[in-house]
Formats: sequence, C-alpha cells, structure tokens
Amino acid sequence: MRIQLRGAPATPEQQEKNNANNNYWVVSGVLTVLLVYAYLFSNAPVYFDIPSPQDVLGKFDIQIKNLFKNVRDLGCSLHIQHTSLFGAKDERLVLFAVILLAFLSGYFLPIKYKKAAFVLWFLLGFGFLYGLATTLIFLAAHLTIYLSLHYQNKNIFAVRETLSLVIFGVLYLSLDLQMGMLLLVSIGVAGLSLLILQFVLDPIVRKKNKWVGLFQTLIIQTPILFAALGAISEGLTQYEWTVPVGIIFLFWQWERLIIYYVDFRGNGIPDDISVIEYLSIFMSPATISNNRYAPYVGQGYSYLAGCFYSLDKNRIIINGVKLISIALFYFLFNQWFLKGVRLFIHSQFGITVYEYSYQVVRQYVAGESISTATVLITTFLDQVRVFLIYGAVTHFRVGTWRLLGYNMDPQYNKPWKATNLVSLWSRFAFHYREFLVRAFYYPVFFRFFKKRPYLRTFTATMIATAIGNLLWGHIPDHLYYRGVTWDYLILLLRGWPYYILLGLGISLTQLYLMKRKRKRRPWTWDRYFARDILFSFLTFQFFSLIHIFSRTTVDSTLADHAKLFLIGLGIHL
Amino acid sequence: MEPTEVKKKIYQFLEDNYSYQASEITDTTDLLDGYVIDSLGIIQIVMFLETSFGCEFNANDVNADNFKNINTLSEFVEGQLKNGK
Repeated sequence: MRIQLRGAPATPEQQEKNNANNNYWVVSGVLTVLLVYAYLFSNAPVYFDIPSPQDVLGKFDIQIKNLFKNVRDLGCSLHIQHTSLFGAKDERLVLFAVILLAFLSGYFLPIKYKKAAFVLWFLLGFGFLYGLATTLIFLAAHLTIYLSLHYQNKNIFAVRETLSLVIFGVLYLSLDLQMGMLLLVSIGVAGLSLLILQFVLDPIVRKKNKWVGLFQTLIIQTPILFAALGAISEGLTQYEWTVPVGIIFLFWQWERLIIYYVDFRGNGIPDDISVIEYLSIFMSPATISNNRYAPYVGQGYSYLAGCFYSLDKNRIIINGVKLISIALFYFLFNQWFLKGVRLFIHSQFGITVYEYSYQVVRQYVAGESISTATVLITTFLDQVRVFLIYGAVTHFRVGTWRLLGYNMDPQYNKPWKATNLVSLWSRFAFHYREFLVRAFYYPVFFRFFKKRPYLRTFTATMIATAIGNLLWGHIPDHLYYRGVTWDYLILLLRGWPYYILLGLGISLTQLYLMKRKRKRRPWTWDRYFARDILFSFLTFQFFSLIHIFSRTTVDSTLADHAKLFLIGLGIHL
Repeated sequence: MEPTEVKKKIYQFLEDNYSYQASEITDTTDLLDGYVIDSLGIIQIVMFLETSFGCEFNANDVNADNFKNINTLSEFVEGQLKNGK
C-alpha cells in the first residue's frame, strides 16, 4: 500500500535542487561497478585482450567449484530473454553499456530531458538486442495503449501520426515483398490504421460512457485474455497461439500495465501526461534484463513519479550502487553456496537432498521412499535458491532504477528477518505485493463487509493472495514463458492448494496481528531474540513446504502432493 | 467533536499498537516515510477510525496527503465528520 501512500512527487524546485550537485566520486563508483560486471559477466576481457576471471584465478591455482559454468562463462543469472541475435555475454555487454550511457545522460542532463534520454537509450539498446521490427512493434503497442487512455491530450495528433509511421515501419521490415509492392502495402496499411484511429478508436474513447471504460479495461487486460483464451483455444484446436516478440514484451509488463491503469482510474495520472512520460514508465534501461523475474518492479505512474529525484541524486545513486554490489555477490555465489550446503548435509547426515522440489515429487511418484528430512530440507533449500536468484536479479533492476534517479524501494529486503508470513511477503516481493494490494485487496476491502472488520480483512487478503496471485500473477507469467497451451494451464491450475494455503496462512496471520498489541520491535536484542529466530525459521519452512503443491508434474496427483506435504509434517500415510 | 479528541484517539491507537515507536511520534512525524506505519497498519487505522468516529473511507481517501502525519489525518477525519459522512 505504500505505493499510494508514498509521498507526493517532489516539486520541480525540489527536483532541481536534488539535481544540482555533481559528484565525480559517485560517477566513478557507478563506472567501477558496471566495469566489474562487464569484466565478470560479459566478453569485455576478450575484446580488451585482458586475462579473464578464470585465467586470474587459475594463475593462483584457485578453483571454486560451481562458480564457473564452463571455461569461459561465470554462472550468472543475468539474462536478456527472447533474443538470440547475440550470445549471452555480448547481450550483457550491450546491457551494461546502455545502463552506463543512460546513467551519464540522466546524471548530467537537466531534469526535463532526463526521461526522454532514458527512453532513447532504451530504444537504442532494445533495438540493438532485438532488432528494429521487434522494437517498433513494442513501441506501436505502447502508443496504442497511450492513445486509448490519454486521447484527451492536446498533442494526441502527433502521437497518432507517429503510431501510423511505426506501423509502416513494422510492415516494411516484416513483409517479404517486392519493393514496389511492399511500399504500396505499407502505405496502404499505415493509411488504413490512421483511418481506424481517426474514425473507430477516437470515437469510441471520446464517448464518455461505460463502453469507454470497458474498452480501456479490455486493452489493459489483453495480456491476460491472450493467455486464457489462447490456452483454451489450444485445447480445443491443438493450435498454439504465438505473437511477435514485441507483443510478448508488452504482455510481460501486464502487472505494470494494471497498476498504471489503477492509477489512471483513481485520477492519479495528470490529464496532460506526455507520451515520453508514459513511455519512460515502460521503456527504461532498467526493464531490459530478466523479464522472467519481477517485471512489475518499478510499478506504475504514481510510484515512479513519487520517487523520481525525491532525494539528492547522489544519495539515490549511491544506494543504487550498493544494491547492485549486493546483487553481484548473489550472482556469483548462490549456486556455489547451495551446492556446498547440499553436499555437506548429504555427507554429514546421509540425508538425500534434491536440487529442485519437483524432483522430490517425481521420485515419490516413481515409488521412491521419501523421508521427512528430505522433504523439509529440499523444499527449504529450493526456496533459498529461488530467493537468491530473485534477490540478485531484482537488486540489479532496482539498483539500475536508482542509478537513473528513482529512489525506489527494494523488491527484496532481507526476507530472512521476517518473523511471520505477512512480513515475509513484504520483504520477499515488495512491489508484487503492492500490485496485489492495489489491484485486488483495496477494491475488495473498501467495497465489501464494511461492518465486519475481520471478515472484511480475511476476504480481501484471500482474494489478493489466492485468487489474484494465481490467476493474474503466476499463470500468465508461466504461460508467456513456456507457451500458451491447455495442458500447461491445467498443470499450473493443479497447484491451487498452494495458493489456498498461502492465502490462509497470510490471512490468519493478519487477523492475529490485528488482535495483538505490538509492544516490541522484532530482532531487538533481548530475551525474545531466540523466539525471533525460531519464528523466522518456521515462517520460511512453512512457505517452502507449501510449495510442494505447486511443483506439479505430468504424472503426479493431488493425493501425491498432499501425502508429501504430510510427510514434511512427519505424518507418513 | 473537538479536534483534539480525534488526535487524542489517534495517539491512543498508536500507543496501543505501536508502543515501541509511539513515544517518537509527534503531530508532524511523517507516518509513511520511515515505515512507522506499514500497509497492515494503514488498514488497521482505517478500521479504527471508521468504528471510532463512524466516518467512512474509500480507496481514494487512503493517500499520502491524508495519511502523512497526525495533523493531516485528524483534519481529514474532522472534515468527514463536518460533512456528516
């Protein structure tokens, strides 16, 4: 909820003040950390003909098992997805270069040009990584959404013409036609799209009735509708829907689109928002990497407006450097650490520990005997694995936003300090929780059961954590990544007990916290400190164990998952 | 209702629920910036104010202007009471 409650945007005067001081030590710090990333995770050592990290460690005869995936690559989870124009290490090099250039532009340009510079660097970097056609399609998709929502802006005509030109460009690049025919077709379609915008889209959105709202909601919910209808259609016809990568990128931003729309419906967006301001929310260098993880980081308009240059820029950027440095540690050592722990447990205690929870399910379905310790430790360490990757990726992304002057909250904030499930969710996935709260919790809480506080809270929490989390959170995410198919949708839906248990756990915790008087801050060094440690462990273990329900496999049944869950609790049926 | 009564009740609520922080809170302490009140706390305050004063919040009322500090919060509640909401 802090999204809405975060302070109002800094005034132009405050932003100017926060932009006034240039500190070259800060600039050097950013350069250094990005150079370290480029050295460790890209082909920079090859291009600059300097010894690679592997060579350096080899010279000192140091070998860290599992740190290096192969001779030339560190085990890094920093990915640019859905493109294969370059190798992963070259893609990362482009990413680091774009971030650096965007940072330098943002740091030295006047406030009014900063966001335009970010959009420009995004488009250049994205175009380089994905090609011009994909970039134009992504741009066209966003311009369409902008037009649909902000049709009352006085500069709308220019945006409309731009969209027509973009569509022209997409066709020009996509169609394999003779030049003359291509030009004719492109001009024809561009002209047609202009006519559609003028005589179909415009009249619809300019009518101030409920159909406008419905139309806008449909536009915003297109990604979800695509996932749901595509999967059902595939089940009926065996034909799998596919869309261009540029559209997939729009779909990946579905949660951010929904938060933007919540801002829009709540009159939280200025009527005269410029197209650049709009695009800067979705097209930032901070949104290029790892769209598989937390694409909603950054949220919508009100949050980003509230944190842009809200403090002295050097303070924000230093905090960004810190976060990116922590991410580096996670990127480097997560696999090495976990494998070490697994080996240690196996060698010292003889307990079989699998890398992934679904492996436990498979072994159980295959008739293997699974012990309570195996279920508990595997689910626990699998969740630690997810947290470490998540921490690395989201720290990098939030850190990048901060380098660009956005004083953003971390998505991942020491989750091991959570002593209950409510706190765990806030600490593990802050921006995602905000999405669920704004899109699901608030609408229910402020509409239903107003005279019954406990029922009101319970219902709102269940709707957000069970329904919203499953249908609007996880399912589209997985379908975009793995393919929009009926079988996969069913596989995901079969994990429903996880969402119910999570919802119940969070709801009941919330009701308990409502009743309890908070007399003590957790992790205060007093006689209750050991209790904090125990509660922290139990919270994380519960959260990990219920994931056994979501690791569905083709052969597993609900009974298998339930029995494994009970085995985790020490009950062998 | 006197403005001070609304404020007194809000202070009492914070004392009951955030006693480890309440002594640090004044009329103008930014309640949102330093996580003095988290999202659960906001919902609790909303319910507390609704049941104590009979006022009604909607989603748009829960914003940084109204919840910034005790002054703004009590002004909002008093405004609601004046308007008979």
